[in-house]
Amino acid sequence: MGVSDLVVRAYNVGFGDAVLVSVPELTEDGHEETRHVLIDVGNLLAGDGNDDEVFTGVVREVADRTGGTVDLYVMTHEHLDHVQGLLAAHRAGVGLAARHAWLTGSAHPDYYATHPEAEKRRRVAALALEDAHRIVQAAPDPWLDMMVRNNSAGLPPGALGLRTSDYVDHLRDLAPRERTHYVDRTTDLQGKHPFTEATVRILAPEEDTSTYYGRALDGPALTAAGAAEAASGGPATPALSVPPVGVEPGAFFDLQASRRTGTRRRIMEIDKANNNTSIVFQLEWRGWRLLFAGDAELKSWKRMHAHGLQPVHFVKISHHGSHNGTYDELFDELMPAQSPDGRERHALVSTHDGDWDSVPDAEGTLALYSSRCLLHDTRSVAHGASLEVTFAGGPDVLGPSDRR
Amino acid sequence: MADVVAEVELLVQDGSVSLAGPGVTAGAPEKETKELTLPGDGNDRFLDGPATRRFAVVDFDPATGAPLPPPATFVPFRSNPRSGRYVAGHGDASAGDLAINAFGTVFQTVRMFEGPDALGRRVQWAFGGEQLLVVPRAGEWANAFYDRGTRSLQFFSFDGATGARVHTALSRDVVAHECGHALLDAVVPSLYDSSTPQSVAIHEAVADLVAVVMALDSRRLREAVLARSDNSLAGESAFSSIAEEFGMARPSADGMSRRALRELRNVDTVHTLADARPHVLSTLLSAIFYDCLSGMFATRFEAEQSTDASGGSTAAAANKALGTAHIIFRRLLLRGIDYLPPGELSFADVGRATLAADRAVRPDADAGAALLRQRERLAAQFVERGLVATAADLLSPRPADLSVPPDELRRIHGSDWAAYEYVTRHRATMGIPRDVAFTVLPRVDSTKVVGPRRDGVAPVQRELILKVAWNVTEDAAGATGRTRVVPTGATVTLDWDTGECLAMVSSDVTGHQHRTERDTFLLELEQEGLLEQDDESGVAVRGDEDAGLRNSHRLLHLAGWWG
Repeated sequence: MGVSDLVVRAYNVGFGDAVLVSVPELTEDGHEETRHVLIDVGNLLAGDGNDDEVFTGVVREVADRTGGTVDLYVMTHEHLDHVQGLLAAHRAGVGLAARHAWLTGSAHPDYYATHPEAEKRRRVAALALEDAHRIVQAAPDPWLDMMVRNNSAGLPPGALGLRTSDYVDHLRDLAPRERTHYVDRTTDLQGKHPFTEATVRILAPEEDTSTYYGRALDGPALTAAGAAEAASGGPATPALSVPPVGVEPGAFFDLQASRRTGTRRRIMEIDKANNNTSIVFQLEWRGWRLLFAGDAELKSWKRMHAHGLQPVHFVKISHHGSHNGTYDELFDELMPAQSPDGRERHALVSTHDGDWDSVPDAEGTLALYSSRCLLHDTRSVAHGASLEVTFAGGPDVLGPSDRR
Repeated sequence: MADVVAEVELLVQDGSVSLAGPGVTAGAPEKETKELTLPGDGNDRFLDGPATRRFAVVDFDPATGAPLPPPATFVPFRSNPRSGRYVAGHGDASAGDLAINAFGTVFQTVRMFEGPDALGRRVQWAFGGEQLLVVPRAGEWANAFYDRGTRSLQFFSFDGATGARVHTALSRDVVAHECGHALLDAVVPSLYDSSTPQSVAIHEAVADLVAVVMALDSRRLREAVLARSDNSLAGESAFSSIAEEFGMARPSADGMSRRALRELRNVDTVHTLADARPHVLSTLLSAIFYDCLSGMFATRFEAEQSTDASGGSTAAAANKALGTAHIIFRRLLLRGIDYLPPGELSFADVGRATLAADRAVRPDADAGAALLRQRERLAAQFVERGLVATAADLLSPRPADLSVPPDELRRIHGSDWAAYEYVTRHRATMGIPRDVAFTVLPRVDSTKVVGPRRDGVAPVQRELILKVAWNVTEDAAGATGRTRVVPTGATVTLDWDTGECLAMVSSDVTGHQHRTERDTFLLELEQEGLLEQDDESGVAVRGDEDAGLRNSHRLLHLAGWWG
């Protein structure tokens, strides 16, 4: 009987992630069984990178490959571009189940009741999100609308049609309750995964996610009391589109721009903090070390560095190839100039053009990876199709390949 | 042409603090009617908003943040339609109430600051434009701030610890304080980017003291405080306590309840506040000046009683004494501010500039005993609090060789070339190091009242104030080879009529102690992750070649840093 290869299969779902890792393992009786790990399925809710129909085909193919049940589903963090797909496919009649599920620790329904510092930050974030939601209701702002929806786990029920938390709720029931685990760096993984041969290690997130929020969140908010008055009172005063008489136009527009920037900065801070709650895990199999980084940003990478980063043979590049998702100063720890064991190295970017000005960061982040390893890019395959990166399970470990 | 007037009703203190006493809230805050005055020939009018050429309210919807039409209407008088009164909407703390109170207090603060009993000149805003925006409903936050970048004063509202609503736009102290930041930024813009903790704290201390001067501006408040304090400023009062309502509504960082945001009476020294952040450190400087005010009042009260000039009433004597002390204190404080050199500054520099400005009007040799005692008391405070070793360290020279003939003075005022030539000629006297480039700032023409009116005429002194700035570079803590640019400078004042040098004040922040404090400050900010890398409006290190700070003034309204 031949020895199979480990295959990382990345789907082009637009601006989002959908990664299936198929890990062949030898059982005690010498047979080979493949464990399938599905990491996130979702895409952005605005712009060209958004297309819910793509999930139907992708999830159907995953179901075909896995018999309708993956061995482990990993929801890295609560962003739409990572959680949306399975519920969308389910609504289209394509279901998928899991034997084990990992959800990021802070998604636990009781997380904030047991983590007071994180709860303080969550409350501030929720206010900022509600402000932003009101702002986009008052005046269209596609970017802000997209960001609010992406981070809508923090919005109260009813604020939007379907919120991020509704998609997360679907994922809570993917695996049996006793095999659904909310994990962080400190979680003891014994009995919480399907592997018998491969080993897994969680590098992030930290248990206390308050560490991921910066001071940018501590800015002003809109007045909730004012919102209540506006809702219950008479017709609202129409907003001005031009400066009042006597007000210098340049100063007026600069002030407005600054306030918008302040709102955006706070929403970005929330977005970053949510990215940093990503489950980042390392999978070791027959000498290969693969790192799946979710959307971890700089603060998370700093923590991971403090607890020990190791050279790897494969990286699922964080945050769709953005500059924020890779910590340049720590890059040598992941990808030293020379492969320590001579094996070929790979990186995968799951991304899309035209949604963000700076994502992917082609000249910075992607060039950095390209300088050290073979870069695989979901943009190189058709929408809904997948690329494969294989890692040899037998003696020819020096020559994995990229198949499309 | 007759002046243009707008009548407004302004709160005497805070939205919910009565004249009953500090720490006491009451349902009916006191208001007083004030007349805001524009010069008749100033090509300016009061508009809805309120708005004028130099100040304008911009209102935002509290729920959506959208800009709204002017919340207060200017209603012209029938007899004289260029003048009138501002009318707010209905209800307590309406948008119009907040707008009128914030605008009116800003207007009066600037009038006071620029008046002949203070700077005696109009200042140019540091942001370069003519109009300062006033945002009375900036949002939900226990904060208020001046922001150079948006040319605005922003006032927020919040629910206090007891649930009571606090509008910072309704606090005379808060509004005057933030306006004080804008005014100090106009006079010493280099303080906005300070790297020295005392420099950052100077902004806060001066803003608090501007609030004190504006509180003293209210006759009703003066009378109420004196009546309650048995004619003394020695205890806690509405003058020594800054932002009572705000402080009561919001416990301090250590969770203790308090009666005001800050208290300017203390016995702290530079040693007891060695590790203090700028807001707390500022109270060291403001306490020195508050002590000076107390001394001025006590001296004049004693004199009023002894001469019986107030008709025998102790209360009348106290009121007259406090009214006089208010004027003298305002002149002393604000003219000292005008003499501050450009660049980084220490508290001792403020002491030197204050005494130099006072001596420029009346040298020690011509001063009476009371004035000499006043100067000695101020200097003694700087010594007792460890800011200088001896009172002599606060003396500034009046180098005779800096004097010029009157016609040359006018050339220096009007011509950059003449000003640079003058400074080049005297660079050694001014302490400008060899081979260092310098910048001469636009010269200032200031005419100040320098004594009580005699026969209806106030004596004045006209001065030319020249400031020159240069940089020194020092090693900075942190990475090997990291350096820091420290802006420094000098102020030279010449008598406009005679060309005589009245004062020269140089900054003194390049010593070991201040450098160590800059290093400690920088490392603390770095460790707390407060230095922004990609935000031009945030506090940041200036660059790879310069570990000095940019926008450090913003620390004064960052959560956790403002006390």
